[in-house]
Amino acid sequence: MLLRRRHGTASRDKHKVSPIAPVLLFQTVFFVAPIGILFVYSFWRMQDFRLITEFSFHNYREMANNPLLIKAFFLSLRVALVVTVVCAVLAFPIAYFISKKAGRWKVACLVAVIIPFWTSFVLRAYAWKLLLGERGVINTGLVSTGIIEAPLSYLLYSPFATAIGLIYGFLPFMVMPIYTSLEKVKDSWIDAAADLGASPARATWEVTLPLCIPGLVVGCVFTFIFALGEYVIPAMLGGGKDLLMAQAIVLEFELSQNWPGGAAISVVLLAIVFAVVAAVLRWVKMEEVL
Amino acid sequence: MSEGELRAVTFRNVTHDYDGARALDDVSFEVGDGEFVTLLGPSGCGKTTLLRITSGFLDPTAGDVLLHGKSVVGVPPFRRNTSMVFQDYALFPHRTVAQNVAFGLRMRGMAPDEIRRRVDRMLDMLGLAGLGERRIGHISGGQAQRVALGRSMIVEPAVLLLDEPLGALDLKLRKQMQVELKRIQRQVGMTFLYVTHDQEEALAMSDRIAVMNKGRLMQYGTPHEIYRRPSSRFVADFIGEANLIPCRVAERRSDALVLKGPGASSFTAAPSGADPASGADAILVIRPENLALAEPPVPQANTIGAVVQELTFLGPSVRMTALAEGNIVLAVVIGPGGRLPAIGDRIDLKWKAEDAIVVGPG
Repeated sequence: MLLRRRHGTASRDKHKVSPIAPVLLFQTVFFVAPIGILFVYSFWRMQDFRLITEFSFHNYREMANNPLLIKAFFLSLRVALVVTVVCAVLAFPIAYFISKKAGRWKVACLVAVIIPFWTSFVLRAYAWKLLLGERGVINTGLVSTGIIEAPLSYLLYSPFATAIGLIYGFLPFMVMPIYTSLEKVKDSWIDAAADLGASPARATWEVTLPLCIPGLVVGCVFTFIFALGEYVIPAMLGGGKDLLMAQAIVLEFELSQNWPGGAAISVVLLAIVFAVVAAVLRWVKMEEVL
Repeated sequence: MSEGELRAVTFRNVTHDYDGARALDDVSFEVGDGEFVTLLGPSGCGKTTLLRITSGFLDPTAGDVLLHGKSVVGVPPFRRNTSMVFQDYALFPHRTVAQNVAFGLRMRGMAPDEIRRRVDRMLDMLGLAGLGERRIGHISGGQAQRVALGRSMIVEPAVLLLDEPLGALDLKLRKQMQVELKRIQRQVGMTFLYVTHDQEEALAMSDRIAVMNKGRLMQYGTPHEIYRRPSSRFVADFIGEANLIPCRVAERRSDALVLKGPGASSFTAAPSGADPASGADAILVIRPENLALAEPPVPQANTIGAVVQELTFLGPSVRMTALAEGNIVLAVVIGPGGRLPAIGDRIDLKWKAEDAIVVGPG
């Protein structure tokens, strides 16, 4: 009451918090608080397996001086970027087909896109192992048909395998928002472009694609963020040689028992994610997207 | 120049089937260069299908479509010299008014300077000067309509196709746009093929009207011909208001057609050359404005007795309905100064033989 009298104005009193209070509470307990704890941890450090609760930039300095971590950091960015671009390139035609050409098979196609989510990520990663392994379906097939002489070793336990797994796993996250955008693109706009002399490719470039940018951006943000932080697929398909950020975090927490160190890497990862979202929000208006 | 080149569009036995259902059935007619032709008919009559076949979004199942004498069947829309004003305008929402209008010229690879010049001129002509930089979401319905028109006209198509372009406007704006569309069309001398289900609109704007029903071309002619000389009961009934009196052809004379009406009444009508045979059933069509009260002594021919049912004051005129023998409801328009009977009065209605039209019963 005192607070309100001091800071509150008549207009501010109108803004009632009550309807969103449960959401705020939920977010505070399950998101803000853990992140806050993580943040605080990242400025502490471990010494002789004891937690020293003194503020310092020790962990961040360590990170900056650790070539393995730097490498993991850039590899993660690169993999996430490649995965995002490949997903976008693959998802647009898929979404276009479903939205504009599938006709009465539309719902069936949508379900087909979503179905993989019904099985666990781990299971699907194992399926890829069966396909990509040295004695996997692809290598066996290629060798037995004589296309190659020896199995391709880079198919599994490599950044390549990780990228394949991530592309496969996150494609639906790209397809769905693009599809949603495409649904708002009226057929008559595409017809009008053709009618005015635009070939199908030109009409796509001039009309369909620009109107899909909101969906494309949302899809790219989701895919990039998920790919950047994904653990299961790199752990199962990537092998232990080339670490990604998420693996590095787990190693710090689990193997090294260095919680502050892991926390610091997590904070950096989180900062990147926030930076990406902030940049995108400045660029596209969220209301147009949703 | 051969004769075919004078015609902007030629439809030759155009037939189209949608999933086994016949949407267009053997439609043939020609649209002259610079003509304003309207495809008129109830929804589902095939008029929009014919428009989409002309623009290339559909191909006919059978028959041929010619633009300036050249068959265009199988030519995709983007290679056809037609241009369509869509029912919902289909303006590109991510582009400005000027960018929308410029689109077709840009697709044709015209130089930017020339495009700007032409777009400015088009916007000027359509009363859109100064709105070029507006976003599509920030203009009114009437303005959007003009932008759509300008975007299609600027490419100077062999024929401009308009798919009920005034349907989304309110009545007052629609009347305004009818006049303006007609003025613009006359001014630029462009061929318009216009689709509507509004017969008043068709009569007001067209040089010629193609009346369609159930995929077939019922009649093709000037508004005057269609209104005054409908060739079928459908056309008579669909265009304007019509009184339909069932008759039987009693005699075909060279100067007149003699008909037996309900009861003992007998009518004559001018022969049309396509009249039903002697003894056949026919429908006598008389427009409400051609019926008048007959004062005594009532002439024998071309009158019918009736009882006044309703009188509606319309301002300049009064609309009367009367019940004639054989349970036929007749509509009569009584002009200013005409004598008004009272409801329930027994009256006689007369008409001139040349105002009566005889059509088949179908």
